[in-house]
Amino acid sequence: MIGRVGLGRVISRSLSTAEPATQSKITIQPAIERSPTDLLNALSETVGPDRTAPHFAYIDDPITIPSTQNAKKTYFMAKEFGKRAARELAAEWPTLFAFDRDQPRLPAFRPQHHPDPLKVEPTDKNLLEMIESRKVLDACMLYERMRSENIDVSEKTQMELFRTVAYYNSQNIPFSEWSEWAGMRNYGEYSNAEWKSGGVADLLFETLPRNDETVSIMIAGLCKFSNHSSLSRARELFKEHKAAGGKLRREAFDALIEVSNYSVAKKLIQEMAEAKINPSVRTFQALLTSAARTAKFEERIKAFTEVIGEMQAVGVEPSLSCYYVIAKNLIDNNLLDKEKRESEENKAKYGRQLTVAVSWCNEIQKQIEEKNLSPITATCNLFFAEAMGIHYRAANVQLAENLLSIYESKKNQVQMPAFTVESTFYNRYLQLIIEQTSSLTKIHELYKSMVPRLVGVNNSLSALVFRKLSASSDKNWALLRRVIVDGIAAGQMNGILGEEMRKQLCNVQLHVRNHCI
Amino acid sequence: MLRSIQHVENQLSQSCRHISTTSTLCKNRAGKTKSTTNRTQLLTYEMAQKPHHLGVRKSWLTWHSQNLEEFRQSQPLVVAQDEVVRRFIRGFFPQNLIVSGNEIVIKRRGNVLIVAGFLQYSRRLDIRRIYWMFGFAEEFLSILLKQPVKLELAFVESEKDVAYNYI
Repeated sequence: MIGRVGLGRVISRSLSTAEPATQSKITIQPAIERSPTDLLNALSETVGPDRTAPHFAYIDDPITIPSTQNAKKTYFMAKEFGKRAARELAAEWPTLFAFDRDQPRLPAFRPQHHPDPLKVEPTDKNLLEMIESRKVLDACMLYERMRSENIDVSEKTQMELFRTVAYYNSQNIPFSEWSEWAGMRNYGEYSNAEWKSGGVADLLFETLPRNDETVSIMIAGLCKFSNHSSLSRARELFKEHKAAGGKLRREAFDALIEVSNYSVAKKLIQEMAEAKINPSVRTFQALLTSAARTAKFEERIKAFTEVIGEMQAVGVEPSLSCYYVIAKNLIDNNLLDKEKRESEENKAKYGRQLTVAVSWCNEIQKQIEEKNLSPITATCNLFFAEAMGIHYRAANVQLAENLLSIYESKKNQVQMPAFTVESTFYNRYLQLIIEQTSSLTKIHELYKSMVPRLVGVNNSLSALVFRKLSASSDKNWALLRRVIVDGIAAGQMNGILGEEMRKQLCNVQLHVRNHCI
Repeated sequence: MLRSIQHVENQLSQSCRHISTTSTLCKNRAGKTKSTTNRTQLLTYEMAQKPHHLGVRKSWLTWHSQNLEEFRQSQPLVVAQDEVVRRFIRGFFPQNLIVSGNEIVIKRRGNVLIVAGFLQYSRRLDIRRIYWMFGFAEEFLSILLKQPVKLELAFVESEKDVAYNYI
């Protein structure tokens, strides 16, 4: 029987092959055109960050995962200093590392000391190299050495040097511009230096011929590192140059606008228009900074509205740093502290300002929601943390969640630096949600997803969770256990929180089975 | 003194080369560990498995493609690099080693060299110091070998934690 069936199949197959006309024709689909990165994109969509794991900068081991912000900073810097020590050794004794089999040779693995300005040959080329590598102090030393040895420095090189020293105030570059070492970049302390009068910048300014560019650079430098005398000098230079019929560059106007009050800044904008200089985003940001200095709240808001309206009229898209300036100055500084607004009048004032701030943030978020966001200035990322601060104050969960989705969307390329600004952003969000949510299960889920990777364990957060646990009629052993474990890891045992932990543990009803899961 | 020198000279003049006629010891000694009477000899999993279990029950301590047919362009180099890395780790983390640092795994993936294995907490546990040492070791080896080196060393509390058996 089986044999017959098998034979029948063979026959039917052979018959079907004999009649190709009856068979449906196979059509090969045209190839879908793919870009070289399509496959990589598809792969990357299948994976995402594991928020319960430590940041990749840390050693993935329970004992070495940092819990608090302070520990994160300490460990990150310790690792970075270890690396720097190794590089220093290699730069000092390069022959001990002469295993040279790499083709092509990789300069990244051959650290070298920068040339000593007192030993290097005093030539234009060496000076230019120092300027290019932004060794400002070394370049200044070499330039002074060349002058004392009566070696001619070409005007072009002097101009390059002048640009650099005016921008950096004859000092080495600030930590925020260190490209190689992320720890120093993020944790290095800023110093608000004042203009170094009588330095190399002043010397070069006197040496070089006065033209639009040199005067503009000088004014921008004087305004960037402003003190009373440098500002008056910048304004004098501005007047002198204008009287001499010169036309300043946009950067000089931007710098002057930023340090002037709003009424003067508006006049400067008019002068720019008369001189047919197109304003850029930075010009408007400077104008917003100037407007933010207006003391009266109503006038300040009016000024912000004017500037944003002007930007729309001119067709300049506001950057996130513009919005940051606005968001930072929507509430009076003296009202931000809870202790300082004890009087009824101040409380009412604060409430009014907070309402205005929320509506501004709402408008801004609507504007940026659908757009591709990319960084334009170094302060763009600060907008998110500042806006989240306003939502936290106003206890507005909806807007906070909207802001979070904007930040985490793929259209946004503006990323906050991890461990510092980003941590503040997520901390504010987490505390807001915990305060506004009654479900302990939801709080537990959110807490687990953010602590300690995104948000370091801190006293206010732990105290808030304990408060929630005490206030809730439900019990959540998993959340309590997690907060206590985190608290122990963060060294909260000695103090009020340790007491709170013990109190919470005393309240745990061990005989109820469900609570112990 | 003089007599003894004379004796040596005599020996040298009489010495000549011979073929060794000692029978070879055809016995497999690798992977055999001597047991103790009170079962205190610690064996890790790696030590407990015999050499013929390699690739079956246990894996290699170095991973690269240079031991495959037609991929042997720089096999001696890899062996030398492995030894450099192992000696460096043994010398740099002397207080943290377990089983004398004999079980460090070296993996090569692309251009990256990954050092994996276990370390134990030293008597004075200072995590900041561990981070400094990891940063130093990674950078030092990277500069030395001219390729990125990553440490994936996990910590155990003491050597006992990696014990598989006591014999």
